[in-house]
Amino acid sequence: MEQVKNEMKMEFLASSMNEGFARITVGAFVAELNPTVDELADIKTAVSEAVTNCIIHGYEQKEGSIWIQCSTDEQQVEISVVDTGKGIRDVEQAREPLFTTKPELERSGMGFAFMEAFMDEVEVVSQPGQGTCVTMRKTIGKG
Amino acid sequence: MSVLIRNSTAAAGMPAFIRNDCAAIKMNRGLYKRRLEYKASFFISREAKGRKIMEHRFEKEYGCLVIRMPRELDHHQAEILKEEADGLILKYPVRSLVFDFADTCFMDSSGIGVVIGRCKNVRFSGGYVKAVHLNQQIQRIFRLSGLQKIMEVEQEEE
Repeated sequence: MEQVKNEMKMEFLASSMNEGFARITVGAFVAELNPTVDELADIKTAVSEAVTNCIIHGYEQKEGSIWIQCSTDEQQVEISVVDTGKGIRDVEQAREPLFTTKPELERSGMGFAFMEAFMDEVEVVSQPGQGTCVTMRKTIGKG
Repeated sequence: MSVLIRNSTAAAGMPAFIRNDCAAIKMNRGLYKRRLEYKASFFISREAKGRKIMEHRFEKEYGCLVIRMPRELDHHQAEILKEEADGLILKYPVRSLVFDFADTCFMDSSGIGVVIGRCKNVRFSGGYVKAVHLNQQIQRIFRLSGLQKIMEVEQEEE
């Protein structure tokens, strides 16, 4: 089967109602690569974590927009989740498992840990006061 | 004895629900007293503002609250679950808690947070916390997060 490059971009309100929407749309987009059930679940979970971080930490549950850019090339998937919220002061600390700046919201501090467990690569670029971009890559069919 | 109580009044609010509950019990008071030695399970569901409150049952004999987890346990659902579960823990003399994942096919780290939070609320009563009917995906989440070290897990039979 001929694999072609594909790309999509979307913007939606940073509301928790849209977490499921983000999972479904990204899932539908990568379905073209015939991922296994586990691979699809991994990608949806990672997207869910990134989007939830934008809502809770980026915008602190206030109004804002989230952008998701997704591209596929052969069996490679690249997903970027972007917000123009608060930004992360210390990215390395934020990526530590169990670290959270919002324990009062019962956050487990495992968002980044899950993204890293389920995707092959996770890149975080952030500027305090300007926003955050989380880019995740995964190769489908790697086993 | 199972009592199925339905309150289909939209946005009825807790007071109306409790009034219906008490009315049902008063009518059957004689019967209820005679059957006190039997396990009483109340299956309750109601509509409120167009959204079904999560299914749950309280096993009075054991002081055990069984909560049916939602199909997709993300941050959005975790917030709803937290509010409703805390209400139930206040409403019933809950000693132990069981999370029933029979309907759940998705869970992320928000689900972990809400489960741990509820465990903390119930732990002081000396009871147990258990998770049942986990499918493969949910088992992965539990393993990855170490939740199975904090609570007993009964896996779904294949």
